[in-house]
Amino acid sequence: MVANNNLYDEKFTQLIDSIKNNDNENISDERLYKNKISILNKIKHINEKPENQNRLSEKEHNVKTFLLKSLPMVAVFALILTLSIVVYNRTISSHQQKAISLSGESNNNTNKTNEDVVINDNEIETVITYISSMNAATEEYEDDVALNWYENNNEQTAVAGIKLDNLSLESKYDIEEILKDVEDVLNKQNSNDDDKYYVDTILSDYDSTLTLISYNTNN
Amino acid sequence: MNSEIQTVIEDTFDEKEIVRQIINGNEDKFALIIDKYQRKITKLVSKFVYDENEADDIIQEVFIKIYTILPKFKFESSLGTYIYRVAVNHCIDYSTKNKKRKNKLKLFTDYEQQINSIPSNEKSPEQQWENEMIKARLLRVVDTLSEKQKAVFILKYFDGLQIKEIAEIINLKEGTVKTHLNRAYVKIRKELKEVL
Repeated sequence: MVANNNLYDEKFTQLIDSIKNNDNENISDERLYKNKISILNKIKHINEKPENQNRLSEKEHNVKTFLLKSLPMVAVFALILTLSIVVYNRTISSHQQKAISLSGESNNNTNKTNEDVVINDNEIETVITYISSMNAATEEYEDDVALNWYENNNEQTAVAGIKLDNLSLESKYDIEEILKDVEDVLNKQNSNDDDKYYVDTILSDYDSTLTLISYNTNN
Repeated sequence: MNSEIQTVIEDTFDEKEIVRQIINGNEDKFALIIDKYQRKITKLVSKFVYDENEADDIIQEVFIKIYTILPKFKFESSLGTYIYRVAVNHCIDYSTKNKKRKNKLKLFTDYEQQINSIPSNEKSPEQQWENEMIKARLLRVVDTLSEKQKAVFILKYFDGLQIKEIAEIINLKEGTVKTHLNRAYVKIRKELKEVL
């Protein structure tokens, strides 16, 4: 097995090297020169536009004019920003209460009712197994991604929470992948019935906790 | 460009001074930036877009974008990293927008074009054909990766960048870069293990 892995790695490295060498041979000086001339011509064209002429020499003047003109707008903007922060903080508090209610007793605060959410023990197990396997797979990077799970005591709902430390917007793509993977697993496992299962998030990632919820089309 | 001249340019290149001159209106100095980075950017873009004409359009757009946003560059990272970041983001945007409309047959033709230009070596025609098919298969698998997995894989394996550098270019945490890389590698391995 180890020998096979080593052989694969060796051949893989050779393959990559071969493609890299191919790159060097494929990029001709003529191609680079043509592109360079084209770029420089386009830049010249940009600078010839009347609105761009003398823009550098007038830069300082423009900044001053802009600051003077925009001062009242800045003041209004600051006021709006302050009000927005206050409203946002209140919204977060409200969401946090929802999270607590989901992991505990009832599910009244979501758009989906308890009747919409049908999932059995096997499916809970599937979600948990999936997330646990993710945890094992990312053990090496546990400083960056820590995955945990919990389940709802409510018999008709199942939620799996993924705690993503340092969760940030750029992780969005991964989350979409996770949702899709869990959906695929559920649908594969339940391929005998006509239901189509969906997995969705019901909480945003503002508190670094993503909650997955599964429901099907039967309801 | 002659490689000796290229080396001289790289050794004597005072990027801060050149950037300052460009910002102050000496647009001809931008040619030095193009000379220094164009080959690297061409290699990078060619891994995202296999059609040479499309790739050239993107390369030109990338450099023009760099020129227009250069006044905002504050040397918080190296100029090279900054240029790579602009190029990678541009490629990711382009790939995302064009993935759906891209015809699979066309895609295959692009791969074929790329691998057919490989010079012959001492291997038999059958061996060469087999090797080229494996390369085409790898490139096809890379094209099926998510845009970030693809970007991370290309920067790591084809550009030989370190995880830290990739994280800086794509603006991700190092751990996230490793996760993307691991997933990309596992997918590729799954597809290629039969033929390698």
